[in-house]
Amino acid sequence: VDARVLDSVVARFESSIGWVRDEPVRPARFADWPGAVHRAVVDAAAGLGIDRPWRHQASAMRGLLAGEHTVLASGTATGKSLGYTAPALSALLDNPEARVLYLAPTKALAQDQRVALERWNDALGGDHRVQVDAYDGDTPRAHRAAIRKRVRWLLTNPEMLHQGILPNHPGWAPLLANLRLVVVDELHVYRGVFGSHVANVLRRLARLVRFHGGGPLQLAACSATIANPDSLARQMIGAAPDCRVTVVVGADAPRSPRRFVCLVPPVVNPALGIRRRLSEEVERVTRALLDAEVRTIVFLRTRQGVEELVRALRRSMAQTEGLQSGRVPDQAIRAYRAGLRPAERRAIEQGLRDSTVRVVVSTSALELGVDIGSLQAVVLAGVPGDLASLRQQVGRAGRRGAPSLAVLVAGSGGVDRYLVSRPGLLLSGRPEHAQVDPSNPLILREHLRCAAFELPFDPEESLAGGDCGELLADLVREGDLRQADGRIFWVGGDAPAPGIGLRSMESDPITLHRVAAPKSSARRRNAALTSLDRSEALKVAHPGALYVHDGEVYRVESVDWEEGRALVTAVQTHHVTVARQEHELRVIEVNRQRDVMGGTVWHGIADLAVRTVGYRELDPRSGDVVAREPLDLPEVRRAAAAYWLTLSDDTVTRLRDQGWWRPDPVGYRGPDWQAQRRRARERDGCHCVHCGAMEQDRQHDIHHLRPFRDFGYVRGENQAYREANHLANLVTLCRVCHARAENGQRFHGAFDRLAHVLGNVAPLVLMCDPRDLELRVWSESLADDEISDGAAVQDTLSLVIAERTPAGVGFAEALFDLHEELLAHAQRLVDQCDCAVGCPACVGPPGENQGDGRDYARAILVELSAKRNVMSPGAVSP
Amino acid sequence: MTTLTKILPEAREVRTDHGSTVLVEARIPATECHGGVRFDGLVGPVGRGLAELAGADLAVEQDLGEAVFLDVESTGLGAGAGTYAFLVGLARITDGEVVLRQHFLRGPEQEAAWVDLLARDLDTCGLLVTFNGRSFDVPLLHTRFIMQRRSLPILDVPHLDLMRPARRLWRHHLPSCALVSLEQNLLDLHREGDIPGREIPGIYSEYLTTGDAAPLAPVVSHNALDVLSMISLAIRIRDLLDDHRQAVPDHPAVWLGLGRCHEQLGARQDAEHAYTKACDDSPARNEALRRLSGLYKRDHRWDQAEALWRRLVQQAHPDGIYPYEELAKHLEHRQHRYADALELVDVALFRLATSRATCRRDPPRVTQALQHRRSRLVRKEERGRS
Repeated sequence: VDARVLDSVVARFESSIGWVRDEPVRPARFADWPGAVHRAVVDAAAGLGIDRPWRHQASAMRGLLAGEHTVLASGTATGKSLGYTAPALSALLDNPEARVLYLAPTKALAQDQRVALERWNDALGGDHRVQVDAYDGDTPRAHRAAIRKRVRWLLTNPEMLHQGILPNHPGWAPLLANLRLVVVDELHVYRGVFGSHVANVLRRLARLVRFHGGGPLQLAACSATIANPDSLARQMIGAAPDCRVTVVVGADAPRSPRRFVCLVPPVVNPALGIRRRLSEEVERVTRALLDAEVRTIVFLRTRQGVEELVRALRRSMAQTEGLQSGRVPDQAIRAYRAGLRPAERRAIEQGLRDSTVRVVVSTSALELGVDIGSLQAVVLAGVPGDLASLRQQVGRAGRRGAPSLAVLVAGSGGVDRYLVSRPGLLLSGRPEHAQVDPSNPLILREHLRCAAFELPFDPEESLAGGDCGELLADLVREGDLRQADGRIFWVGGDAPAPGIGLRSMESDPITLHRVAAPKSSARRRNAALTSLDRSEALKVAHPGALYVHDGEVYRVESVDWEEGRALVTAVQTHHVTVARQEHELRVIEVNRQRDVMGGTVWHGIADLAVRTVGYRELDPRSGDVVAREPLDLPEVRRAAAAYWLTLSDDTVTRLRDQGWWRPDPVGYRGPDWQAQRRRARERDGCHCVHCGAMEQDRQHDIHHLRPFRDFGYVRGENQAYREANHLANLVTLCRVCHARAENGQRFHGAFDRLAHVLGNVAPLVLMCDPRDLELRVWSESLADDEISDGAAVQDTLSLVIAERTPAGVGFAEALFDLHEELLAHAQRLVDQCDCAVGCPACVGPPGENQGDGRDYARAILVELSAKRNVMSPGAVSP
Repeated sequence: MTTLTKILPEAREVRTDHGSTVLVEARIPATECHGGVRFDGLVGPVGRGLAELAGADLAVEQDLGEAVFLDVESTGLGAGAGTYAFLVGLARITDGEVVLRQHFLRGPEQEAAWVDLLARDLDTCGLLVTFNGRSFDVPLLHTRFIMQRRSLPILDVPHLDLMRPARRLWRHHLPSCALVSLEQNLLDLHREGDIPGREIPGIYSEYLTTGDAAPLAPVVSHNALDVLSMISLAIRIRDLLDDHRQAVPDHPAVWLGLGRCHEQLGARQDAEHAYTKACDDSPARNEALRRLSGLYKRDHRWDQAEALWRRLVQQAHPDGIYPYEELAKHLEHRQHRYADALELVDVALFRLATSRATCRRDPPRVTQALQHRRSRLVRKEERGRS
């Protein structure tokens, strides 16, 4: 595949192209081997085809050889591993007792590194070989004892360290007593909840190394480009402020030419402003690449999305290829995501290497530096949660020096539209901060239990750097720990670590099992399909749900929520199910509050409850609801750190007087509405004018092309309804298309508009994944009466941004502190958006009954900013 | 609240360099019996059979009478740095007495003293006997000693883990090879009011919280019983393997397992004796007859083998098609009675087809082999007639 083939694929989407950037070829810049690198390592490198390191690699080596913590932060395919491999091997060769520990966030990556190190071993040869072993959940029990004794370079993952190694540390004494260097690969992945957990795991490791008489730990970290490699590395190991950390940023590795294309799905219904679905556009692009025999990886954000694309691609290939010879087998299109069993995962990786697999559809699991051979194209469905991931995923293309293509298909979400109109920010803008909070009390508490199991606590000892006394006292009261002779001991029975997951706050997942077919063997019967977090299971694996796994559709027959087991059977259907969930929100604790212009901002803990009350089964092609079932499932409650904003009575009064405050939906649409509605339906033949779906048991909606509210109808005062309800302004839409035309939102007034804008800018201000936050406008009283400080919590409307992580990793508090900055970003977004009357990327789509949504947002932003008097009220009116 | 000394009058406090700890000591005359076995029967070499079954580091000549028997109670069923061993029972025969010393840990904060005293007790140990100690007791103690920055004195000492020979002898023949099951089947000992092992961690944890020692009493006696039963069990197994003078409770399965081990070890005569004992009674009878017939067959003692095959065929429920097949082979190759052999093959095929016989091997292949044999027999018979 050469550049012309890639160009021809791009040319087929010319009308959708938002922009094209050609990333230039970058020449390599070399440096000499640092003197302290062992001679044998230099020779072995030459054997592997590396005559000299690149400059950034040499800088990292010098930092590590000088005994400093070192972070190397640069893009994909910049040879970060050589930066630590050469010094680590040197240390192992210089001191026959020394040991190295390598941590990767996935088993696959650790296995990949083991293979790479074995190549080094072959090049080192004979006397210089070092014993390298991977140790993970797949390591056979019979091999484990031998590995514990002999290993010099151990490759493992944080879970295994947490649950397998640390609780059994006496058996790992040879490793821990001689451990000098800890390599943390893909450091940027360790942010949020996962990072906060892993930081505690590393603190536990350091504590046990001290116990076994090992020296202070030295950290070698590799990271994608992030804004704060230095502070993240420090937090991961709890380094003292005066401790030196060498940071090497950027790369001097050569880069092959890469074309980066942004596609915006075209408008397919100009009257309604509906664009082609993201998934459809991604499928088209992928199909085009598949037809051109370009080996491609597609990144999607959700596991369900991955499965649905695989299914759609296989179906479409079967349809066309069925007519031709050389049918593409299903094996050529594979789903790759977390939750795959190891054998499945290895088979796909092998398939990519030997070209039996042509398209891999993946969640972020493959984003990590697993070597999967050369891929010629990368397709991104929407902007991934953060820029670091985006660059990682794009970097997947063209690892072997050939020209490559990266296609970003923009979604309709706010962040997507904001970012795709700013390619500069996307490609070279300031990368995100990776936030971790190892002292989060919920996380720290669990690691204190683990640490106490591993080694009794001495007085005044702490884990996360702060004071753990109170948490320890709690645990003593609860009976898991015992205080005696001034020390604190574990008395809670078996090891706590296996019950504590690192990647989420939830510890007991739901496992999906196939219902036994009568003839299947016992092994097959008991094999678990996959496992899900409880909250995810409530949404996608409730009884009756259709769950897609590796292209197969399964119906969930029953769920045992106590045992954490769901039984599923394979079914043949193209339907999908959508759960209906009710949310409830209540403030349970106010930590801080302050008056701001126009209102009050708060920071505290909110109680979020989610009830799954039913589900619908849809035919996605027509949007028809084929079934509607009630559900009675356990409620999930959690406490979440939240930031919220309430308006002062004055502000509300002023907005109401100006006509911007419309908390009530439009109800009455004039005396002729029912008749006009009926006529429009008859005219359109009860079909949705957008997708053509026929009405089933529910009447389709009638949509005002120009919003009703625009016409300024006031009952008893004018007859503007006649014009608004004119047949030319009405179209019939099915519920699905109607929701798309309205973008699923109903906007009632300034406050909703503000909420939409803040929802769009908050992830940018915080540099976090939008999925880390949950935004709600809550119209009931948030507070119980007994809130301690008796704060007068506004009982009308609150705009709440809650963290998805229980107790939070600091985002809510940051929003509380950055409230003014948040508003400034919101103002800029509203002012700079190039839409006509509001769009999902700024204040939300115009909706049915309002004019330019941006005017509402501007009005409330004026009230909330200090510049209130600059803009006179009434200058713009609805 | 009940204090420790109230439930354990023999308990005493022992001072060490690292504080004090609790030791419960009892002495029992070695002439006494436990499970029908006299303790002083222990004195004597390990013997060839036991040494071979138990593993590499055991010397045949080593005197079992010098062994230290050890059993640990812990705070958790899993291993790990936070799982404490809170009670270690040690027994050895000294000057005509069984000396049982139980080291009790009053709380994790006293582990340094507890380890210190235990180390002194184990220092002189030249042969260790446990039940499942290789995977549980010894690694657990090793961990405890590492946690106290000490080294465990028994790591390099020859170690007889009775679980190994017991499993090799009776894995297929007894419903369980747990200590309690072996007590019942080999020693005819039936514990009353014993506490299940899985409840022990909870009881200790409760004691730490409340300080009430009363519920610990059955734990301490459970541990004592475990250690004493190990002594009787070691004697019984050694003597079973070395000679058969020892009377064993009327349990053919025990003989069957013994026979298999002898057979594996190449002791034909002993195996024959054990199998013969096991033939006395069902349900082990069929298996014993079958194995014994195999033994005769390999020794070319055809008459004896044939008698057993015939006995098996005459059973109401012979085991599989084995006796038919063997008898058919015997009649065909050595007695040239083709018609009789043919009849037996037909019965075997009929039994297979109607599922009256359970067949452990792959039934289609067995059927194929039988049919092959059948057509050969038909040819031979015709040739014989012509």
